[in-house]
Amino acid sequence: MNCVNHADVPNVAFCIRCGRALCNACIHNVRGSVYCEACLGDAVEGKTAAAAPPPPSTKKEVVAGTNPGLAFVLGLIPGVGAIYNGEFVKAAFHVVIFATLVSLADSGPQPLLGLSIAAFVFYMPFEAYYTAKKRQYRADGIELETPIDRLQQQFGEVKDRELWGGIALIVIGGLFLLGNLNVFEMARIARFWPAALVVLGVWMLKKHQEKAG
Amino acid sequence: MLGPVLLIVIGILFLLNNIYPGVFRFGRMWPVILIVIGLAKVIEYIQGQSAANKKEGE
Repeated sequence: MNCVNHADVPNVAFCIRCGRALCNACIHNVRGSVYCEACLGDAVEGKTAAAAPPPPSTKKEVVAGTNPGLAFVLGLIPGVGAIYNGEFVKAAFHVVIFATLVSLADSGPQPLLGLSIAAFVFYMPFEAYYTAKKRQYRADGIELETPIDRLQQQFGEVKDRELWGGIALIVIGGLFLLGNLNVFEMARIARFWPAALVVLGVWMLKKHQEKAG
Repeated sequence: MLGPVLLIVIGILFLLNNIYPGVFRFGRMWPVILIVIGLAKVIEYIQGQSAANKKEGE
């Protein structure tokens, strides 16, 4: 769905009062709830206080993917939990991450890599469970903060994540491509993958310091 | 924006795979998909950044 004001921008949220789809530029965050410009204006003028009619969009968003239990079970299969939640891009990412981890593990026995595959396989169902729960509550106009959100906050603001995720993908893709084209031996480079954990840790520390300072 | 671009890239990769089987094998070229997703993300970020700057400037 696209923003009501910007027809070419996908929405990031809905106004909890009138249910209109809003893009990042149009959302107004008030005490953790999202409003559109018009409803915020109404609220400021006190129109809600007097009348307070049931919001016009009493029609619940009837969508697949709001049963947390089922989402959890499907989440055990890489990508399927996200598909159930209607997050197809995320599903693709889960499959790609899983495939990358498995093919890296193919290059030799590496205990930490095996553990991260296990961790990822357990992460996906929980992620799907909480997303489904969030969607369930959102249909009732409640915005839930889940443990997954808190985990993502560790990785910085949404905008930052997009940039650094993109750069990481380019670097990983470049490494695999060069490896496949026999520019260098992938197995040799793959040994150095735990360095990525170190970099990630340093970066998270830096974020933490910025927040504190 | 990402969906159509991805389809085009995957289409081209499989086309090359079928037309020049010796040179371009999909099993070799698939990381291009990762690079394209990454590029799309970065471009999206830069566009968002310049849009935000414009808004502030107004």
